Amino acid sequence: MTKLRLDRAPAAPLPLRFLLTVPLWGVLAGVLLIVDGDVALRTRWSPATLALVHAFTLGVLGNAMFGSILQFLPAAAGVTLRGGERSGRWLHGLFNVGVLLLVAGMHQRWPFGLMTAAMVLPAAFVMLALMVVPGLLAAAGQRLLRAGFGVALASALVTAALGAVLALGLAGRLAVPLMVWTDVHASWGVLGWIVVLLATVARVVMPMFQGTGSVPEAAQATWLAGVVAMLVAVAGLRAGSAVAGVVAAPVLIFAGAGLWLQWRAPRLRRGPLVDSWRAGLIALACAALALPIAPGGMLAASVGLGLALPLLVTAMMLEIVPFIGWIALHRHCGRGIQLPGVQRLLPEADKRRVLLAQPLLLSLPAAMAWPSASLARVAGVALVLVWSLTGWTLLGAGRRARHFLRSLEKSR
Amino acid sequence: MQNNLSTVCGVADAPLLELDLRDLPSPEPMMRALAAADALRPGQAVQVLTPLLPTPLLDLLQARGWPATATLLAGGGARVLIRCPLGDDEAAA
Repeated sequence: MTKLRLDRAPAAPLPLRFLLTVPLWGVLAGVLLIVDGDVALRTRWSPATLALVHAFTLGVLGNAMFGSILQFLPAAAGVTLRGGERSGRWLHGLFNVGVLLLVAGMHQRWPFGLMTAAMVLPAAFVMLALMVVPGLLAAAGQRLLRAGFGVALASALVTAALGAVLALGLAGRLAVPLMVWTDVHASWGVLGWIVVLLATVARVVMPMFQGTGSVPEAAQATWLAGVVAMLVAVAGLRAGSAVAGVVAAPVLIFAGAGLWLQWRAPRLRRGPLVDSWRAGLIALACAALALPIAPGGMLAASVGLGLALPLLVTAMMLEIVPFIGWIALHRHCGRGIQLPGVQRLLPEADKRRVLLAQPLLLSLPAAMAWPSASLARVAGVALVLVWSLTGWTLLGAGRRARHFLRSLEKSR
Repeated sequence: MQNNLSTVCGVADAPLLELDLRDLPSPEPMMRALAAADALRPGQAVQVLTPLLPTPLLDLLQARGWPATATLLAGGGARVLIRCPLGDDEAAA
């Protein structure tokens, strides 16, 4: 058993800054698609496509991953974060400025943006590692959980380093075999960083929030070891066509395991979270199946990065953000005042509305399958609408908390 | 659903209550732990078992200046001992 010092507990709002930035990037991705139309969907190498993909992977998913690590690691593994709230503010600024420079640099073929992003983004990932890794190594117990976070963080650093080299290649400052290393970069980023982190967190939060059973420790450890072996093989072999199948297999296993756990749950808690995860996992399985089948990986990317993974993280954000808001309210009011419950700060009906809006995003793979300027712009509008609704819903928790405080002041 | 409230031992002239919140769906454990802490009188303590280390709870207690100790359990989850300080004016009110 590990004794923990109270004064090392992290400030609750630390991850909130990252989580509330996620919808902004979703809206920006939609705007990019409206501006660029089908140019962004026809080939993975066009500047518009690269910018769109990184708005999703770094802007949407990256902010969600950063927020999740800072929220979850201290709670689940007793890991003490270095730097606290102040470092968190710097990290948020550094990361998002880096993403903005990268997306602008890719979109406009702007060498200064690409070169600056090639320095700023790896620095942001190193800063995250410096905040997290010492505590990760020092903590006791929860070895599998800490191993999952370790693999995810190491993959993030490899992805960032490869990304920096590729960005310098795009800026014309370095001779790099772009196509081969992009596959390696994408494999480590999507599988090693995003999916491993999601699977690591899911093993703990699915039983807690959804009432499912838990993946057996040996099964998760084998899956994790398999992912590491595959990523190393991908980097070593750099065999273009084989990469898709190698990446798809563990993603398919993760999605299948999640669906199986929901199906066999002893006390499944029906609601928007369970439904969102079911839809997100099915979409993720479809993306994994499409990856080795559909040429170029564009269709798989549109389903996986544009729909499935964002849906999984959005559903969790809709649980976490009102909870953090409730904590802030409690801190503000102190003892002796009856506070509105977490469910009143963000009602289930609002979460359900966000889930029901998701099918609009099917326009994205549709625009990929039948490319046309008008369909691409419809998908762009769908992204703007869905992410605006998501952002408005998340901010609703803050609006209701402020409304409660105003009524409290009036009644005094 | 398990939600045991049991008297374990006496602390500062008041019995130490233990509240097992590990099987409750999130965010119930945090809300109930805080409600139990709010119900304490000066000198009383409560021990809660939670499914994760309740960092927001510890953060709130720290802001109030309340002593608390947390222990991570081997099988996951945490045991948190919360004590209402003797000089807590609000509690006395």
